[in-house]
Amino acid sequence: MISRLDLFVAISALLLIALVVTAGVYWKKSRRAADSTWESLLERLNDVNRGNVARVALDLIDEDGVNSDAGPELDSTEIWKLLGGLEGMERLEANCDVLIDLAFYVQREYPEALVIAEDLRLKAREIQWHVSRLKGAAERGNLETSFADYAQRAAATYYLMTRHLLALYEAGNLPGYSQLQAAL
Amino acid sequence: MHLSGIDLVLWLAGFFVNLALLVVLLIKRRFASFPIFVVWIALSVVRTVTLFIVYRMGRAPYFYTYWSFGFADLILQLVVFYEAAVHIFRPGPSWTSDVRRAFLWIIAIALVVGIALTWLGAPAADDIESRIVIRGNFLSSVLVSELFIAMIGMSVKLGLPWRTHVARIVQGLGVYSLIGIVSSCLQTYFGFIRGGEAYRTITHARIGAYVICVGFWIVTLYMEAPEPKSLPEEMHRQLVLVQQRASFVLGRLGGSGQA
Repeated sequence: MISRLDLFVAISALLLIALVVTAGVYWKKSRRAADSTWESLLERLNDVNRGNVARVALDLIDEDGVNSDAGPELDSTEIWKLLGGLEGMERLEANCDVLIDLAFYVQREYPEALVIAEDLRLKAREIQWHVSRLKGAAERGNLETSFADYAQRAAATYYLMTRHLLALYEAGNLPGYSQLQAAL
Repeated sequence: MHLSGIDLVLWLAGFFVNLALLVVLLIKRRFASFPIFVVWIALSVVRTVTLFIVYRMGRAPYFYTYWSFGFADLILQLVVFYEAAVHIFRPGPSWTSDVRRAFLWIIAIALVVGIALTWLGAPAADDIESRIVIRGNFLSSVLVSELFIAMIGMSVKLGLPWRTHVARIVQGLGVYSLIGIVSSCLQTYFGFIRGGEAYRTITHARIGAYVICVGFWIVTLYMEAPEPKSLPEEMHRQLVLVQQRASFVLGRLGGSGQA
């Protein structure tokens, strides 16, 4: 028969192990982010068809990011094909993780660039929000009806975000601009 | 009540390392960045001296003084975490999005887990004072540890870097709290059996860990953080322009997207 005290010790030990393991996992991740170089971050970016992302994005917005007057012309099937379906959206989502790490890198190297880092984080999470809605829709079996709206907005946000990041690097004449341009 | 040689040595060690840390914090002007942490260390110095004096007055005055300082200590430790959270999650004028709501959830879960476990543990002690002390130590260790881990997890998930001194303060506090879970769990289990021999040994080990932790703070907070790179003037100007434009455009897009 397990006594109350034995149960307390067992649960406390489990809690302690869980806390130590969680701390270790996150600490390792934070060290990996801290030790990342610009090149290693860019290598983690997934291949995304920039032309297709731009086409889907510019169907919703213009080059300045303003909603187009004519309204979207691409239908669900075309958007699905251009973005590579849910798998393509997952690649965009994975790139958002890298963009968050890029934000970490920018903020660590240039604390004054906090505003752009914060913007990158915010928008990367916005895309992740859109993709999570798509995944939810896929699980519920109504992906077709949701795909066009969420995917097109995610693509538009991704397009603008990467353009702003490139503009920043170009404006600052920072090392790594050409690599970033090639990767994004 | 009688103090053994090792009791006195550890008591003195605790006092001197806290005093040394306080001096380092004041000399290095860390008060401007971490005022609550400095107050917490100052309280630790005052507590050590006060408890040493009150110890000779008998069990009841010692217990009430110990408990009053213990309560203030827990509150200050939690506020030190809040201070660290401000440094990490509010690097600019406002909090990083969703952080506050997430933190409220974490605090609620940490409290429920901590209180439930503290209730479950029934310290093997004859008097209520000892049971309260053991349970109080356990609860504070569990709470601070959970918040420490949650803070690491959230900062990694959000991609927020830790500045050097914040990281060292939180690391020290977090590791000491994890040791605190082990020590107070063992104290709950062994209680005051064999005249409190096990209890005292565990207390000595915990104080030793605390002295090491304060030593870590003395060294790391004495050292200056690496100088950050500064942005070139032109880039800084462009950054502001790009950011203003990005916020304007994405704000419009987001406003129609997530409605």
